[in-house]
Amino acid sequence: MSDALLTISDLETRYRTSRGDLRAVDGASLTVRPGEAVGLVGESGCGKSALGQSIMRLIQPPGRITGGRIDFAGRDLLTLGDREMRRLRGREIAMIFQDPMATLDPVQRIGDQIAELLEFHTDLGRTAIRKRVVEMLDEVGIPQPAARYRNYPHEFSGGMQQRAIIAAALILQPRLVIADEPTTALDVTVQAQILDLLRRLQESQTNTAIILVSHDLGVVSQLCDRVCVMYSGEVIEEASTGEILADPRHPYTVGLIASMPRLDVEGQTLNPIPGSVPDAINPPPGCKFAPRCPRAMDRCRIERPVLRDHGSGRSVACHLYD
Amino acid sequence: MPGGDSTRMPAGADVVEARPSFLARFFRDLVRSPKGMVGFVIIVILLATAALAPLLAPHDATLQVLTDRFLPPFYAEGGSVDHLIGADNMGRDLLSRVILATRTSVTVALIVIAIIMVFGSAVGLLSGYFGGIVDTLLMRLVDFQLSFPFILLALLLLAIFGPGFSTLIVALSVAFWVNFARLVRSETLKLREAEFVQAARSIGVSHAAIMIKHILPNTLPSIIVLATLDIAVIIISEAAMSFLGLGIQPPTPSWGMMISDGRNYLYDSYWMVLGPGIAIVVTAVGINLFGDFLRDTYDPRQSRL
Amino acid sequence: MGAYLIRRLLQALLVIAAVVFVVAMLVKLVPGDIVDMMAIGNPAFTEEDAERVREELGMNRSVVEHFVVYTTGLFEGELGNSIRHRQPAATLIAERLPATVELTVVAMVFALLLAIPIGVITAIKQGSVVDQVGTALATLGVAIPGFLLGILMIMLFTVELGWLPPSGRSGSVVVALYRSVVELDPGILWESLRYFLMPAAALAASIVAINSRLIRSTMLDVIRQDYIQFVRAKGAPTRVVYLRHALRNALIPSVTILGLQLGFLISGAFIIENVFAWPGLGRLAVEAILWRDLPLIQATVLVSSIIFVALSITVDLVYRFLDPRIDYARR
Repeated sequence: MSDALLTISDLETRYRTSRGDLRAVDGASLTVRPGEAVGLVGESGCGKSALGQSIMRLIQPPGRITGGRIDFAGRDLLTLGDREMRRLRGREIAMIFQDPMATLDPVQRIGDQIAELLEFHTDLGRTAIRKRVVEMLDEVGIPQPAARYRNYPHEFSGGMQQRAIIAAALILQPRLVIADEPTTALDVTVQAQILDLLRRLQESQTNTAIILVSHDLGVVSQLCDRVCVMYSGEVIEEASTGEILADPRHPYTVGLIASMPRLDVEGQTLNPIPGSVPDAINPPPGCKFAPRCPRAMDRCRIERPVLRDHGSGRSVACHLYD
Repeated sequence: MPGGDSTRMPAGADVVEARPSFLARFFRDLVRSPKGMVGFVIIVILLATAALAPLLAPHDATLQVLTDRFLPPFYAEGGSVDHLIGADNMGRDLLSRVILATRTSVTVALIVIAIIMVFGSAVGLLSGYFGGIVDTLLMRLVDFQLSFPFILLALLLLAIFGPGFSTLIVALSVAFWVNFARLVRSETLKLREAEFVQAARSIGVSHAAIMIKHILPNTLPSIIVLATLDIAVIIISEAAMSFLGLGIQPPTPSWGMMISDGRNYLYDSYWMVLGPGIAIVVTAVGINLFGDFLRDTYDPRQSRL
Repeated sequence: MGAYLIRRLLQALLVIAAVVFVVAMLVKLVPGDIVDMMAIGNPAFTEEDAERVREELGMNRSVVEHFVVYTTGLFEGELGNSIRHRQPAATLIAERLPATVELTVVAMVFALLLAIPIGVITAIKQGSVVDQVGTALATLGVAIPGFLLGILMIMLFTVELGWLPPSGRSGSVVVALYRSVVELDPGILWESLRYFLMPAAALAASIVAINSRLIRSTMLDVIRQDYIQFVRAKGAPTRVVYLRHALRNALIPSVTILGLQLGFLISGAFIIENVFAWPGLGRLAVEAILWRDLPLIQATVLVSSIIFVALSITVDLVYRFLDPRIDYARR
């Protein structure tokens, strides 16, 4: 799609280990349109966090990006120099991390940590910066924002910390926000509030796309128009939220949805997907889900399926549909 | 440090292996570690020298031969192989003195470490296990003493009892027992809440049995690592005290005192400090290397330097 | 902050009270008649002297009476009279105190100023040649005791090169620095500095070794933390990441250890003074022990303890300033 904001093609990110290269992201492809809310779903270890960090080129040694393209607003991010990349971070692409207490610098004031973004990317003076930060704190729903500016992270509750981080992420109105499990570390009631906030902010800033990374389909379905499902470093299915829930096509997605416990049905048995995730250092040949797939064919164990477009925004990587 | 680790790697498999005997494992680990090997060899040499000192020394360490005064080492002009590293201001053979002093230092260190290991661990164990007001008070005392300058404590003891072997032992013991107390206490606190301890309590095992049979063995790795590293510090502290004249008293040779004697003759007879100096450094480095190896292998939780 | 300061001061007072108690009781604790022992070493010591000293030391008083007399005497600045020097202990201490304080404080500051950049650089360049050299030097720095290092320095800089004097002191370095600047004459500073360099370096060496390693290891921990990743995600230049965020967090454990190192520093200073004949409290104290000069020992230990406690509180305040979380740790 030529009007896409972000196009990831066959991205590969690996980590060096004593036993060989661990393939965190193994040929993943993904598209995000301007202003869209896309969910990135998968179980722990499927590489979704690594994918998010790769987009911002925040992968630290022993990890490195080894292949693919990341097209953002017409430029391949993987070819940019360090300085140009730094200019993008925080201003055009922002990130919300998982554990808010761990994300904030414990010895700096909350307001100052948000102000840094304006300090790095704008020419505004200190007073103007402070004013803007207080405005933003108010927008994310932090009471008494002017006083709270001077607080330290440990003086905020988990929910408020995350609001502050969201304030930081959105203050420069970036075109893309990557939210990596933003609610996982929070209480359930607070989760709903944060999701609400994200939705409200995303709707009001029409030009901001969001990638919501999560293992929880429930969370994703509340916020996102489209969902991408990841398994073992690859995107194996892409569809609108409604379609994914009603008509999952890839056997893994089917299993994922079937394994979600439902509160409205009595006496159900839990249906986990049998088996475990493949070794990320030496993956099996062919389709990586084949060992656990109830519908695996011989072809699946030899040839890796490719993500194919099924039309009207759906893609699936599965030999069943080839 | 709060929070998580950004270089956290995505899921990978772990390898499980069978467990051979403890000694076999120890030597296998040792052989793989260059610094462990070096340290181990040095320590073995040290202990052997200390044990066999009178046999190894070529001369009587306290014999003053006035015609041999200030004799340089064998490689210098005027030196002889008879006095390999020369003689001191009283004509005593330096090599013999260094060897005999090894025995002194090792003896002091072993006595002190034995005392503080037993006493410090006992206090830490009891304090951590039973808690309460006694624990709070004891730990206040420990924290304070940990930071208080060793020399001032030593001076007070020396003022009362005068310099000598037993005063030295007491001073070093008083100064260093707190490390063990704190370590064992913190380990005990953690282990006290462990499942296997709870299980033992629930079937009626007595406090004493829990402490001795369950908690103590699990603190042993940490204790041993600390003991090893502390021995080096104790040897250095003893040398410092002897250097000041406040430690081992003549005529017993000690490295510190030898350096103090040699200090006055640095211009002409530098070899008087070289022997004991090298002995101290090699000993300390060797013990530290071995201690580092132990910590890396068996107790990586301790903060590293 | 205020409540904490008061609590800390009370703790300090408790410590000093304990020291006063032990010091005062020294006379009673010494086995045998200490005056006789003093007399043995001092042929000029007459029986009158002996009686006078016994009186001064309070040997004729009961324990309680003695304690009261000694303590009230302290408040009047009465620290006893040195037997050997035949002067008030307070005078002797006042003469020597600046030397020790200067040596200790300047060496400590200097050591930290060195340790921080070394720690940061070896952390950033982990695994490189710079790091390996740093590790080797640090291991040596910890294994070579201060007094030995001092002697090795003398062998090199005095005997071999003839650059620096092996002992003594020529006035305060800090004052000399000031005068040097005011009168634009570096020679003034050098005159004082040349005596100061080796003792300070020998004392600082192990402090630099320990702290640079500690800063390195905490920096390595800190750099891996999520909040550093967050700072990068904001588009921060590398300098800001390391200096504004990583370093400040990495210094906190170092400052904690600083408190523990103070004791080590003072012990080291006392020993170094004896290596270089630096005219401070350390030399005074060791001499006093060798001469069994009890009043002087009492006074020296007491004053040193007070200095230690004062420095200790200062370090604590610095720590609280650096780490705003400490409030919670106390609750």
